[in-house]
Amino acid sequence: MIVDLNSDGVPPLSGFDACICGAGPAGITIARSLASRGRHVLLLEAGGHYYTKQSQELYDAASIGREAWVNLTRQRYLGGTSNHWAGRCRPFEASDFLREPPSDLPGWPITIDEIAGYQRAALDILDVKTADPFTHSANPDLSPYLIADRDEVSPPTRFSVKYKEELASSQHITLLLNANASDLRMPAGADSLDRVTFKSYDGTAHSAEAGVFVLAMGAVENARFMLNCTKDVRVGLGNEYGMVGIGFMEHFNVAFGEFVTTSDPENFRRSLFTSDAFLDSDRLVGRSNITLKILQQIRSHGRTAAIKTFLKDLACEMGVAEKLQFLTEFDCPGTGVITSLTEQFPARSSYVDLSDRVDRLGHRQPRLNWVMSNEDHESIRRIGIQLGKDFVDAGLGAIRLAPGVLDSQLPLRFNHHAHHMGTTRMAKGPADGVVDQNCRVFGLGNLYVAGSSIFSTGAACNPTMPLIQFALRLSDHILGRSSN
Amino acid sequence: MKIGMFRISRRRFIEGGLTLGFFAAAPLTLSTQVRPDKAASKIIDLDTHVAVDGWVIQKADSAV
Repeated sequence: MIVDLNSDGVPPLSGFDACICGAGPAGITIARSLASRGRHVLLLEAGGHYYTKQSQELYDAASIGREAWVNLTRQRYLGGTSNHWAGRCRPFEASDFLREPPSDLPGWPITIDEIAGYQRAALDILDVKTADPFTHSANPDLSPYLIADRDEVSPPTRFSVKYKEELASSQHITLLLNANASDLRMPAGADSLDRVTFKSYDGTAHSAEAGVFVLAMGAVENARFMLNCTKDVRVGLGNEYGMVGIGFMEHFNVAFGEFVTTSDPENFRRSLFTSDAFLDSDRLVGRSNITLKILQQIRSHGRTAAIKTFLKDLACEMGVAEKLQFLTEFDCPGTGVITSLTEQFPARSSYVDLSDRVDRLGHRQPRLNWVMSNEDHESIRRIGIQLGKDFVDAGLGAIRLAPGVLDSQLPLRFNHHAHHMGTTRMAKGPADGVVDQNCRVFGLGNLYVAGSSIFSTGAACNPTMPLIQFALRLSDHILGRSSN
Repeated sequence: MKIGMFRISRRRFIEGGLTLGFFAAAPLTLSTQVRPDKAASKIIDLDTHVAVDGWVIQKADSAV
């Protein structure tokens, strides 16, 4: 059943086995899984069926580090950020769970065996039909250290489109739209939660009881929500050790440099991956997925760009833009550009906390400090140099590394990938993280976290498929079933 | 005003003249900003390779 609080009355809210906050890929996956085993689920979605300004503006966040565009990169309505994801699926490697990052936060407390069994189911959810996924590549390895990457691509699956009818007809799921989770409460003296409070956009507060609670609102929102829940725990739910929000990670999109190639100069394209052999040989190196491709359109800089801009403006005013197109977009021997999806090591210096600003529903807004550490920059330097050497040694052409790649003392050009991770990280104990090996919040008997906020490291995998693997595993845990 | 087959506003004509005049008058300043090959090469030792202004080359090649 789907109920829109903007237009419908509030239905009876009782008898729920679980309450899930957030109807994105993780929340919908867990709700469907629990419902398929007969559990009654209350699923709260802060937005409606489609994008609205009133919902999206509640994602406004302050940024005191590198800008990560929180408001623009997340989608606050049914289906969550699956509404605009690109569909790339890339799993964790087994070694990602064994390796300790060269930073001040530990790696995973589990092995890949804990989620490997859920990969096929996750790919089915994402409509990836490949029978033997992640085993083929169109490109050869560049070297033992930089091997060909292997990925799969979802159509991409839009969870709102794919599951809307199922959610509407479900006898076990009550999906409330435009319902903003605002608080989780526990009885006095208890260590478990008993009810959730949520608000509609007219400010009316409602509450419901449930057996277990799952936060699945995205990495920034999960941390923000827990820090805002201060009625029963002054420092915020699960935050006795001050770890909520600590360890925010993105994937760096580093522009390593440019290249020219003698090998198929018009269509050259390679996608590379830092191998286990590379990481084993140098523990300061992290994962990176590097793409080398030829620009199909000329790119200009400096004086050339200024002249072109002027000519474009002039041409538009004169109404002869198409006649001058050859000046501004003419083809020429292509420049090769290098982009990447590079691991950010977990670090305490990169975090989400709360700003002093309050949103229209009375919740303090998040404040993000996204920081590239010296260890991250050094990893990028080493990967870039290895790439340059291997590219040249392979006889593929010439490569020019960006100044900030060659010299970690210089500024580095990089961008975000809209992959928010690590703010409620999984750890062995509460001094290093927020959730335990079962995604349960330390110190609370029935609060769980889903989504990429539980990632202890981000490696160089696209988060959507792995977070669905974790969501399916969490469902089994809640159901008291063995993951085997 | 009309220039050849194009009609152009007076403001754009003046702005265009100033822009082109600027580029004509200041080529040296601009060229040092956008043409690093005018500056001394920066060489970084990469063990088996060197980077010359960012271009990675084998040491054997650099010796030749």
